[in-house]
Amino acid sequence: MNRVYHAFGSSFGQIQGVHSTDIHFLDYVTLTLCILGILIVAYTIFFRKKDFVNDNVSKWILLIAFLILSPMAYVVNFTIALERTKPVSFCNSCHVMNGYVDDLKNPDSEHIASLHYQNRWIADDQCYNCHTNYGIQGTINAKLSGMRHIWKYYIAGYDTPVEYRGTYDNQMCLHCHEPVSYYQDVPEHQENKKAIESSKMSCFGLQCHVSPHPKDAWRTTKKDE
Amino acid sequence: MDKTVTIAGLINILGLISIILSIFGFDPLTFITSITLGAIFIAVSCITYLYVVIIDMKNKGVL
Repeated sequence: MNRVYHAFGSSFGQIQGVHSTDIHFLDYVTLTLCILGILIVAYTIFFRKKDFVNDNVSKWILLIAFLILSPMAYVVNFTIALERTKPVSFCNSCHVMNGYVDDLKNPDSEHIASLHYQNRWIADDQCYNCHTNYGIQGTINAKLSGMRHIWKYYIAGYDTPVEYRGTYDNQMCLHCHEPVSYYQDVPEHQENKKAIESSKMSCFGLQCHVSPHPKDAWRTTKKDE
Repeated sequence: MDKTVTIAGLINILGLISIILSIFGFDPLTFITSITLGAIFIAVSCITYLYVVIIDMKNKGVL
């Protein structure tokens, strides 16, 4: 097992495919709030040059900047930023994911994730949809995991080969597949219903379904090209 | 007190700059910086400013 660290400023780990220039309405709102906040604080502190603790006007201006504009800018940005972490392109921005995303787009691939991606069985944000449990708890856990991934990628380093942490929750598959007849008609699904639902039995491997990703996908990174 | 407010202002500006960076160059690094350091900077500046206001009100006998 090897430990890999991100090399800042090198081509190793360059950002891939994130649409940095896509600026939407809410970005303009955030930007306006930020610029307004910066201008107000800078003007009051550096240019007004008054005793702003005893100056009522400065006090109120700073109160608006500190307690209204800045928190508002943060909250709006937080909401947009979380949405922007969902697309496949964001996951692909860490080079360790390049192999997985390359396989998603490979027309010859027969891996489950690739089939879901290429046939648009999941319309958008395919990584996010298969790696996030349903409900608000699932979203929160996914975001916390994402932050842990970013932390490990940039700062703490990560171990290779890259492996799924814990047990994959079959409910992420069953949410779509379980209610449909082609799933229910398979005798193995009925015989192992409880084990499948509780994730004690994996959907992948044995005589069941092929692996979702190639086992050595983590090796196929832009670094290796 | 003025010095404390100046420091709070600088910290607040840093927090807001981290947010602006994440708008123009959204990637995992600017994302994590804006939502962690941004939150810390903005929260610290708010708390510091509130602290200054409360102390000032106490000194003036309002509280």
